[in-house]
Amino acid sequence: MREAGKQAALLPQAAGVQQVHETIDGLTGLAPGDREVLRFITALTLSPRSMRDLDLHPLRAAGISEQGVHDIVQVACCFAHMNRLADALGVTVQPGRYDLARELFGEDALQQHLRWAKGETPAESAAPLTPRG
Amino acid sequence: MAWIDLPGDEHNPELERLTRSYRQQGRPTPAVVAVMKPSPRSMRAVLQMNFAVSFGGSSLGRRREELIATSVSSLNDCFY
Repeated sequence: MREAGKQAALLPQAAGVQQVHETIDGLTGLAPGDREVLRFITALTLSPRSMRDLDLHPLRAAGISEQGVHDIVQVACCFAHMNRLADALGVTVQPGRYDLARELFGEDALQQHLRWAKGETPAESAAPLTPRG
Repeated sequence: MAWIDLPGDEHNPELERLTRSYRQQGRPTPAVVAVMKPSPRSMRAVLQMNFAVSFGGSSLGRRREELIATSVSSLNDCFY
């Protein structure tokens, strides 16, 4: 499960769908179906109005059931909601999660996050997260 | 930590009930849950939704749930 988080952290932020898809296509060691899931949720998250029924086809071709398709969307929606709560209300990673944050994004990003939560870094000047490659 | 004032768990019976399991486990209420304390009704609904689709609650299995959750957060540039 920790490995899944590392793979997700490799996705570049503030990038277009095509760029992220290229990154996903270059990932190795994914489980069957992971690549299709990642491509789908990238399009859903970064370009929701572009979604078409055709976007479901790769999921089905990867053997994912209708229930699975539904659940993928629900999980993505649920965490998008959490993201908005966190960013709008200054929710800070708790000390017990610092080690995971360092592993995924590095010490500098963690410190930047903690400064942001204290109001020391204006949101408009905060640099996008830099995943560790 | 949050940028709005949060009521204590004893603020109302529903909030006390919703956060009881965290206290019993001796750990703080997760920050993104705690920030919903001003509205115990919405906290309850969101927690029910969360448990339905995460922590192994969906048909996807916990590993794939975590993969999606972390990816969505990363794509949204949300550190939390």
